[in-house]
Amino acid sequence: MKRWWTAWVALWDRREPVTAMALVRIFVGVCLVWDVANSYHGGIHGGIIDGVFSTTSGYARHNDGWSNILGADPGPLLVHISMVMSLCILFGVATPVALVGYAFVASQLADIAPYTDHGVFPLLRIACVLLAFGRAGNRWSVDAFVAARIGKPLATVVPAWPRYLLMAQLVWVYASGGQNKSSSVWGPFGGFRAIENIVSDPSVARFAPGWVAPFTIISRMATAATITFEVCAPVYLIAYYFAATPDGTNWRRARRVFALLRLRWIWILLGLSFHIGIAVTLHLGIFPWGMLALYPVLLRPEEIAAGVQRLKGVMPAKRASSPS
Amino acid sequence: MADQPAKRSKWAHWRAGLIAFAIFLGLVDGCPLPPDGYDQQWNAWLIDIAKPVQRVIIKPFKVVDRVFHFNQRWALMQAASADRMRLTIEGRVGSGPWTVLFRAADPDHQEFADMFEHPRVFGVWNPAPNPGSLYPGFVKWALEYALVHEPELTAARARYELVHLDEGQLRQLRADDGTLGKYTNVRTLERAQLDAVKRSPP
Repeated sequence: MKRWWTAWVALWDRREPVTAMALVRIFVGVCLVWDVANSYHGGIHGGIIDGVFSTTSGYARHNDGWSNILGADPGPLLVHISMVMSLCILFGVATPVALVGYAFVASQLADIAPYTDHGVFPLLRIACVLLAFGRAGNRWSVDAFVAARIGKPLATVVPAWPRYLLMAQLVWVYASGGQNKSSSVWGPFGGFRAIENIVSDPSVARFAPGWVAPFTIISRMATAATITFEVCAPVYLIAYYFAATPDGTNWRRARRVFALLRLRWIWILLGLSFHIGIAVTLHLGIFPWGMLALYPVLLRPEEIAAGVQRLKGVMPAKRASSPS
Repeated sequence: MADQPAKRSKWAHWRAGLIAFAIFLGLVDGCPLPPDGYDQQWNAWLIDIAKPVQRVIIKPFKVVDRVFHFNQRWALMQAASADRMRLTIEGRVGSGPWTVLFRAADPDHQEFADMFEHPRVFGVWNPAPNPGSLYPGFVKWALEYALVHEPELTAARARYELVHLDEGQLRQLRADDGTLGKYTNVRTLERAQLDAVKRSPP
C-alpha cells in the first residue's frame, strides 16, 4: 500500500515543459474568440447578444448569481467581458486571471442562457481553470515576453499534474458520452443508425436531408467506430502510460501488443476523424474545434518538442542581421 | 517526464490526496445511472442502492455545479432517434395563405437562417425530445424578429413539423385529416400584438 501511495504522490509531483499547455491555451483562445465574436452577429443591439443573453429584449433567463451586481440585465455586459478575457487568453495577457475570470463569467452566461451551453463549453471552463494551474501563459504569451524583457523570465518547466488531469478529463468526457448513449441506434440492435439520423436531423444537419442515403454503409461503420472509440477511451490512459514508461518491466505482453498495433495513435486518429466529420456535416458551433483544441494534452512533452523542432526546420531560418 | 527527487514535500502528499479525492468525486458524479423511470427490472435493485449513495456523496459539492455549471455526466449526441421535429417559421399578409420563411435544413427557405441556426440559438429549439423551458420566449423573440424585419407581414407563426428519418431520408408524416405534414407547438404573433407590446410602458 505504501509503495502505491509513494508512486501516486510521485506521479502528481512530476514536472515537464509548459509547451503542451501553452499550445492548448492558444487553441482554446482561438476557439473562444471566434465563438464570442460570433455572438456579435446582428450587431451589439438587436442581434444575437440582445436576443440570447438579455432578459429584457430577448429570451434569457433571470439568474440569481453574482453577475447581478453588474445590473438587472447583466447578460450583454458579460458577453463583452468574456470577449476581453478570451483575447487575453489567446495572447497570454494576465493569463491566470483571464483564464479563471473567463470560467466565472462563462458560467454566469451558461446560467442566463442555458441552451447555448453545449457540451464543449463546460469542458472549456474546466480546461481554463486547469490551464491557469498549469501556468499556460508562461510560453508564447505577452506575459512571457514582458517578464523576459524585465529580466524575470517565467518558468518553462512547470508541474505536470494539470495536464494529466486535463488528459483524464478529456478521456472521461468520451467515456461518459459513450456510457450515456443508451439509445439502441448506437448499437447492433438499432442497426448502428445513429450517425445517419444525426447528419439528417433538420436541427443540426449542415446539408439537406437525404444526402447520406447512398452512404448508409459508411455511416453505420462510422457509428460503430464512434461508440467503440468512446467506450474504449479509458484504454488511452493505459496506452499513454506504456508510451511514457518505455523501460517499464511490468505488463510486458500488453506493452508489446499496444506498441505493435499502435493503439494510442489509432485512438487519437479516430478522435480527429470523429471531430472533423462533425465539423463537415453538422453545424454545432465550436464543438469539434473546442474538443480538438485540447488534443495536445494527449501527447507526451517529447513528442510535442519533436513536432515543434520539425516545424522550425520547415520554416525559413532567421537571417542574421548584418551591419549596413 | 522529468521527476522530482524521492523526498517529497508535505504539500506533494496533500496535493496527491486532493487529486485522488477529486477523481473519486468525478467518477461518483459521472456514474452512468439511468434517470428516474428509465431503469430496467434486472438492474432496479442496484440502482435503488446506488442512487441515494451517489446523492449523499455529491451533495456537499453541489456548489461546484452551481458556480461553474458542470457535472461529470457527459452527453455527446445522445438523442439520435429517427423521429425528429423540424422548426418552421411562416408569415402571412392580411388573411392570405401562410408562406414559409424559414424551415430548418431546407435550402429553399432560409430567411433569417443566420439568426435562427446561429450556434448560440439553435440549442433552444432543438428538441430533445420536447422543446425546453425557454422555447416560448425564443418563439416570441423569433416571431417579433420576423415581423420587425418583414414590415409587410401582418402575422408570423412558428410550429414544429414531426418528421421521420428513414435510411437517411426525411419523410413527412400525415396529419389526422390525411393532409401531408403533421405539426405541433403552433404559436402565432399578430402585428397588432407586437405594436401593443411596443406601446406599453416598460
